[in-house]
Amino acid sequence: MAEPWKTLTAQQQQALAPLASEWEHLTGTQRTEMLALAKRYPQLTPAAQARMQQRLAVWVKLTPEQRKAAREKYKAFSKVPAEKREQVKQMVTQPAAQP
Amino acid sequence: MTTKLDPNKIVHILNQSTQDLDSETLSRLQRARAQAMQHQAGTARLMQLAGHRWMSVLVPHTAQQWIVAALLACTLAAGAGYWWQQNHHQHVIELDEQILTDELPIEIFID
Repeated sequence: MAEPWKTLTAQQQQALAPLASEWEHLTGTQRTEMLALAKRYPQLTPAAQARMQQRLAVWVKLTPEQRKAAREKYKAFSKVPAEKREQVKQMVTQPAAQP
Repeated sequence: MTTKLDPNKIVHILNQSTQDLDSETLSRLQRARAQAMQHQAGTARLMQLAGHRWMSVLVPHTAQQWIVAALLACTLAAGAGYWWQQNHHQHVIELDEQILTDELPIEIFID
């Protein structure tokens, strides 16, 4: 069911705000997936909510195959020992923090 | 000297020995035997009935019963498939949420 943007609840619209302008161009499947994520939005911390909103526009543009590949990479990365995951995290985030 | 006794001889000896018992003891033994036989017959009959009943319930006999059984099997299979799909979908959404909220940038996981 392809729900128009106007029919979404205020909470759904808030969670999916970055997608407001392109919502009508999304397929029914994409909208269903985004609405499922919006349902979980209230349970997130403010920082996690901000990250989700920043990434939604990129995520929704990916093809199903790209999203599937990203999930597989994430699952593989989750199996890496915690120390190494932390090292990677620092390598990636620190250069961005430096002036 | 070893004596080999066959079962028939043992029965004969036991029967002879009952004649040495007093009448009261003999009647007690007979009553106990009758009760044991009755109890065993009742238990065996119950087991037979239970087995027969379960077999009658579980195994279809008529064409109509076979159709109902097949429909039930199809419904169960469809339900199991639906449950698996919902479970899988839920798992995918949880994974998406983790990717979108992880401290690592999303570009790391995208080609």
